[in-house]
Amino acid sequence: MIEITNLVKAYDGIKGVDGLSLRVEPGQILGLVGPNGAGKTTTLRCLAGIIPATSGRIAIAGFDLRDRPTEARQCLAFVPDEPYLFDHLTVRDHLTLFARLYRVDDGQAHADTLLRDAALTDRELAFPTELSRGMKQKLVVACALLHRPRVLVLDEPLTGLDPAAMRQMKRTVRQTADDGAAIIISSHMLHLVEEVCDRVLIVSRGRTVLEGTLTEIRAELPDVDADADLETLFLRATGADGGS
Amino acid sequence: MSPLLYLSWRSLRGRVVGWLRLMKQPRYLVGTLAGATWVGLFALRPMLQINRDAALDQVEDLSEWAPLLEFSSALLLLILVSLWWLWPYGKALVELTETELHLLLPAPLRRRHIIQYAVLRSQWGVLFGAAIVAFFSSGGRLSVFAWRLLTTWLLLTLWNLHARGRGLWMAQLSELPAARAWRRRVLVVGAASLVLMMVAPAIAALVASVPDIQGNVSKTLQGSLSPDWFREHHPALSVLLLPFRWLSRVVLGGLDTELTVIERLGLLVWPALLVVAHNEWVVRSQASFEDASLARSRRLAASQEAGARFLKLKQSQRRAAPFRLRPQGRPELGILWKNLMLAHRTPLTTIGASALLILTAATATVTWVSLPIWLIGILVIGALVVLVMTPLTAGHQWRNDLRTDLLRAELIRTWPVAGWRLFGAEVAGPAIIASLYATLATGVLLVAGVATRHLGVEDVVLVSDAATALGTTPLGVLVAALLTLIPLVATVATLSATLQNLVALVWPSWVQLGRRRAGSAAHIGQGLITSLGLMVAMTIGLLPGVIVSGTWLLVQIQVLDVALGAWQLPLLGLLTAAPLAAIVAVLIRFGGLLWDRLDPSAELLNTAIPGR
Repeated sequence: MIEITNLVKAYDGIKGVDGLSLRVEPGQILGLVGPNGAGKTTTLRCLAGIIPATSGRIAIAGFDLRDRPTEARQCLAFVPDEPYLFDHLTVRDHLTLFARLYRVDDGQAHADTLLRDAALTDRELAFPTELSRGMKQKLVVACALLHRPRVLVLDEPLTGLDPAAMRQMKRTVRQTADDGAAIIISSHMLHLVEEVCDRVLIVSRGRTVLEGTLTEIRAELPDVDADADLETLFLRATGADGGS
Repeated sequence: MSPLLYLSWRSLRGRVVGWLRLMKQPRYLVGTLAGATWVGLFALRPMLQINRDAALDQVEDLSEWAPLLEFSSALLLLILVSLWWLWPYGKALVELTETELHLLLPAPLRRRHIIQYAVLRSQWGVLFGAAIVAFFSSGGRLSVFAWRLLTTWLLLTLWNLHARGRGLWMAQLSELPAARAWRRRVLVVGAASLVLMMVAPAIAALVASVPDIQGNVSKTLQGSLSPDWFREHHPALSVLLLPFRWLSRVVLGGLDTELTVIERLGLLVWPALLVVAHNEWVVRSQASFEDASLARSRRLAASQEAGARFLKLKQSQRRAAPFRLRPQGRPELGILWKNLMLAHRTPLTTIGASALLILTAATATVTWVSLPIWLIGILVIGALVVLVMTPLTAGHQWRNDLRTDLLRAELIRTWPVAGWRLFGAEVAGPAIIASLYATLATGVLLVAGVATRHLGVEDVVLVSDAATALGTTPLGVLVAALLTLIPLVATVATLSATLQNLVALVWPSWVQLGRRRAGSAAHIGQGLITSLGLMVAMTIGLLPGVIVSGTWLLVQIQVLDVALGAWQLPLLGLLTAAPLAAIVAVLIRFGGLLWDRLDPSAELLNTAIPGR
């Protein structure tokens, strides 16, 4: 479970995230959407423990990120918007390292499965510089899933993936949620969010604008069609549709 | 030119603003003040004092040498330029970054303006070099500094432009029809060869005069390199040397205190004219520099990418690792495993066994075979350099610690490892490799020590005397000394790596992250600050151990009158290293605290700050 309460992240007194709260239950997928600079990545980075929050509380699987960071991180996996990998480690090395970092008993066997799913089995001795952007992204996701996280945080997970890999990714995310993980996906690909997520949180200027299922959000906004898609709702909610 | 001037101005402004913003953070301000104070007090001030003392006699001494210096430096310059043109190929390098190339080349800008922009950009390095030369040769006098700065800048700029012009001219030849290009090449090589042949008598005269150099050296040399002699015997060369003499006179003019301001300024006319002419030659070049510049910027970018060098590894080598990493156990061992591989993938057991085998074979060999003393000397000096320098600079070359990992802060910060454990694991990589190198060096010292047995006792007094005093054999002394050194170098290496990683954590914006080449003044400053920290920490760390060991020795030898045994040396080594190790442990805890509190938002993750 993910629980964020009144999260504030300020840079030199300027608030990038301003009192954001959210809650994601096990098995649930939350879509985090917002215009550029809305504070999505900052929120995810705070959630993943990459940057410290200025104030507020973050709990991952019941562990407070500030008081028990190691336990919280043990339950969490973060897939950043850029596939950060080590240039000197092969694909297999990455999985070996992550198995050790997260103490995965069946690391080898699970890595084999993940490599097979990601179609990277024949590239296990390749270095990151020998992989395409999509392959790197798949490897990052495989590393993230290796320890069967209870909380999965994905920042623009489909960037650089081909259609087949996109489908595979969506399937993986759904399966991970079905296995009981709480998931947050931040993306500008609104069709992905609409397709995969159970609930959506629209943020702007570091604050929550709307939150709920698509039906709930439609009900919150006046003058929108009953079958309005997320793009329409998003533009209306953030005022980016010019008030039309 | 205005858009490019604007770009230059904004780039400079951006740098200054970025630097000032960093200063708003107390740690950067304190770092700057500490660095500046240290550099001022311990580096520049003594240098300046030595410089000033030396400068008092400089003018008087050098005025006697001035004609000779002017002539010989002109000759040297002529030789260098001729040699340079002897190679009839070159690259049309106009140093622009990949971004600049992609944005500026398609823009509606005249090519001469783009070249001029690149030339102006290179002026930062030229100015910095000129300032350094001026500082160290001015004797602390402002007027001399200003003169040296101006003249050195002119000469370095001229050299820079000549190099560019030559490269562009040569590159343009490859765009001409082959026959025409060859004709020009032959012409240039012929002219350069002719000049060198004309210069040969000067060199011959100098060489012939060498045996006579005794007594009044200046007089003898001035006789050999006399302008009058050249004018009389080689009039053509004398004329050829004239423009080069005007150049060298500019620098030496600073020595002549009798010159008026107008006369001094007159000296600047010739190099200034040459700079303007060279600049026109460069910016008007029609050589296609685009491909060469793009290739250079890509090569540079690739060399800065840590991944480039690993692609050469064969498939079998990619399976190797320093040790086998099992899924269970301390996660920080995984970090160490990863970092060791950044330096080398060879298994540690293989490295250890090979080193042991080689050293054993070498020891056995030198036991029976006599080595020449010069070879022993080289072995000893080489081993001592490695033994001292590797622990002190631990990891500076491999950068297999936070200096590489901070680039992936977004990944590493999510790992479920306690801060101090992660920091300790990061420090361990360079410390272990440095210790291995130092241990290998001690092994070489051992081999060299054993080899001295053939030299006779009188040649190795130190070892023999120590052996007698300690009641053991010379080999026993060497082994005991090595066992004493190993814990000490390992601790020093760990301390050095710890300090370097602490610096990276405290001032990530200043530290060279990854394998990008250092070279700027800031990087030199960082090195100085780290060295200062290392010296202070080593002094504080070694002092208690030295006091305890000294007291022990004093009591045992002077009070109890018990002779020192060889077996005691390693024990004393451990005792000396122990307080240092305690300091390292405290610093690692402190590093962990810093890691836990690190906010990499602006400095490492380039987070856009809303509202700016």
